[in-house]
Amino acid sequence: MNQHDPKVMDEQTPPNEMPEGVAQLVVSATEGELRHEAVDPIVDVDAALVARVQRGDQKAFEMLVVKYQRRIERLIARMVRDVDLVEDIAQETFIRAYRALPNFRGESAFYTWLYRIAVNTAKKAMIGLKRDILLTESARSGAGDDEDEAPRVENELSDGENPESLMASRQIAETVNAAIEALSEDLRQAITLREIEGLSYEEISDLMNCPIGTVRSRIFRAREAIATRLRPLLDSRQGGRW
Amino acid sequence: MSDRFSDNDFAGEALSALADGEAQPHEVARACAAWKEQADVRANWHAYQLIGDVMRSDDLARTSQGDAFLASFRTRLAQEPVVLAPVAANAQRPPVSQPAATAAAEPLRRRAWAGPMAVAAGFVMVVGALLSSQGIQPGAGSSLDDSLAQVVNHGPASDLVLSLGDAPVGGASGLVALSADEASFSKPQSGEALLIRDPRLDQALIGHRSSLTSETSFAGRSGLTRQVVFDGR
Repeated sequence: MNQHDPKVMDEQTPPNEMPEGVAQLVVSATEGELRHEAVDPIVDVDAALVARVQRGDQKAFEMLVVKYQRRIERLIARMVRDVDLVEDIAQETFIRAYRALPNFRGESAFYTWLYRIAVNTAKKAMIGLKRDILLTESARSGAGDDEDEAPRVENELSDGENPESLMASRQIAETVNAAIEALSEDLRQAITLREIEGLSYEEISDLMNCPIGTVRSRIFRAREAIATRLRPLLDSRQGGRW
Repeated sequence: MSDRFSDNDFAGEALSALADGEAQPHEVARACAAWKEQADVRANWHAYQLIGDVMRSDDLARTSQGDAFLASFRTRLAQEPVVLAPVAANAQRPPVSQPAATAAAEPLRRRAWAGPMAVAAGFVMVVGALLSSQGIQPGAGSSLDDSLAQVVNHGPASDLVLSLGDAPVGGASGLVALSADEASFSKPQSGEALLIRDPRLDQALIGHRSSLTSETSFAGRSGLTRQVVFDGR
């Protein structure tokens, strides 16, 4: 067994019992690499956050909201074509999920559970929307002398997307893709294996033949490099209100 | 080793690992604490999640603004009641279900009192049956003698003996038919007898004694057993 193999050292040697030469190797290694021993990581971050919410940590739920907001909005947007309603329904979805969270037993994944809530919330909203459309159309037929009313209602029910938000979304996608292209090979491979292939750190470690700590560091540095390019775009769009 | 890192290092790298579900358990608590206090941690969490979503699908970039969504959500969430920690409450409460080893030992514990309980239950059942049998035919005057029951404290060992009037021996298992001498109902010593007494018992006793008086010659014969009948209907 080669003790100077960083992968072997990382997984099998306790940090406080490393031979002196190996410790020097760690210190002199590339900054950010070989410095973690990922022991018993949490397997399900959602379950950990849900458990915190169930113990009364309301803020932990916000992390779940930020994590799943885009996926839930995309799901709802496919069901409800009125983009103005998408955000409201998504908000309602998360509120319903928060209310029901004490009864969430973890028998399914959190996102699976949230997905069902989103679908049901969207369906209810669509039922209400159809009722509103019928009411509006009857109002239009009954108030035909009001010329300004019809265009306004059509505008409210349009499913067109805001050109500004569409442009901003394209910019975000282009910026992320450009930032990934600019990454070094190691960082790009690590973040791609994680985000697109969905591999665990251990699997990436095996594939890239490097310690788990190195994988963790590479993914973090890749994200930071992309986020550095992305932040000006997000700040201008969001106004830095975090 | 993470103690060597500054808070910023933690906030970044641990948050990145947390986004991947690869953080250490203690880092979850630190990340949640940092989320409450540090705006840059919230911005980083959003950025990391956004990067992952956009890498998987460009469609996911086409959503509402993260901070505006969260601000609006916070307003609505503030109106919600705080979740009462059912998980914590359940954790402090001892589990209702017993461990398998304890459950397996439970029948053994039960055996210690099962015997006396069975005896007591049998006694109660017999007495109950007798009482109910009297209740079944309350108006049958001629059969009144037949349904008499006497529980006698029979000796210092407190053996309980039931005497039934004219009961066939096989009719009620476990019951002892007394000889006419013993079952003469004659003068059980006061303080030694426990008598379950029906209001009609005195009449029956009087009638029975009179019949015994008239049959004195038979009563004195040894081996003559008075047949008792227990009508269990």
